[in-house]
Amino acid sequence: MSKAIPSYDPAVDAPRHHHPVYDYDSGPPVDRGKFAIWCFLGTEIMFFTGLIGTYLVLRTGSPAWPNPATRLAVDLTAFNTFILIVSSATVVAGLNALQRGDRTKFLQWWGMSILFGTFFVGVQAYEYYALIGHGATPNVDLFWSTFYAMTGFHGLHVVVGVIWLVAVYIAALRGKYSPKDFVGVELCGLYWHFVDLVWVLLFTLVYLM
Amino acid sequence: MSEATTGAGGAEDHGEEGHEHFSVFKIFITLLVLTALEVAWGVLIPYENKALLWTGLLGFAVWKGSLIFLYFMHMKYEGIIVKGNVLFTIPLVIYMMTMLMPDTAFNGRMNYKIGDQLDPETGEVVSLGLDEEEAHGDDHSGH
Repeated sequence: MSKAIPSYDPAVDAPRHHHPVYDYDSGPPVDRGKFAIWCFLGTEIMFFTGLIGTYLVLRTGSPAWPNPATRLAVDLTAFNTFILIVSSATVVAGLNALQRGDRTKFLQWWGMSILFGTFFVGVQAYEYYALIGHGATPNVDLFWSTFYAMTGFHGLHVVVGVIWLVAVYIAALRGKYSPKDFVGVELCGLYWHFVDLVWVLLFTLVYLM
Repeated sequence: MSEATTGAGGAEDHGEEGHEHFSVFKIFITLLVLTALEVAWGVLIPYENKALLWTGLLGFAVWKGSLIFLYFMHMKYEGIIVKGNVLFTIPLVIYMMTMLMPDTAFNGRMNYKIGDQLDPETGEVVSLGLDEEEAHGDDHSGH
């Protein structure tokens, strides 16, 4: 009844990895990228909480604060907010198109998102240009220093988001991503929605309140 | 854009997560309507009536942010690991804002208010705030 010991064949049995390979996964049962992006977004939440908290302390602590409507173009920025919300919707629509296997529509929606995001940055750059042209620089008073700090950091996030959107678009043009491989698109979308969410709060705090 | 929906069991599912139905178009329209109402609220409510103005504006902002967070960012359909990973920031945010409350809500009772400064020559507390005219909405920027 004794069994023959199988011989060791290096061509078949030699390990193909430089590290041990186990038949179980020691990580959390979620996608690594998704877990990482949510960790990152958690730190971003705290970052913007710090900015908003500082703004509230400075604002409510100041003896007086100007009505933002007298200093800022609320109508233009309301339109820009509309554009950012549209871009978030097109990102969701693009991801859904990719998950359905419709690459053409995915690229169309994603391209629109890039255009809307670029438009948002352009309007903000124009706003800065006009304000600075009128002498409204960050060193004038607390209103302007907090305004530039909050909208400036958010603007940087939008620029990074647009670059990420473009990178995903180029990768998709080269054949990356499919209905089974869309995590890279989803992560970019999560970041973009976060940028949109933060703007919803900043628009209210800085422009309307 | 109404075809852009996420459905449980459909091809649009995010793998194993099993999303419920939600219409991107409906959320999108809701966000636009809320933005329009928010801007109207900000314009129509007098700036001096801060309690009403701020309550309404913050309500609209939180409502809109929640829609983006729950639906566009799919948080409503995530599992406990992702939810737990993110939602721990909420008590931290509340804690931070609560700790800042003494500086915001009770500034009027402080010996040296935020915005005040000691005059180096006289040693008296002077206010560095804006003048009352601008505080009531006069345009000093020319914008």
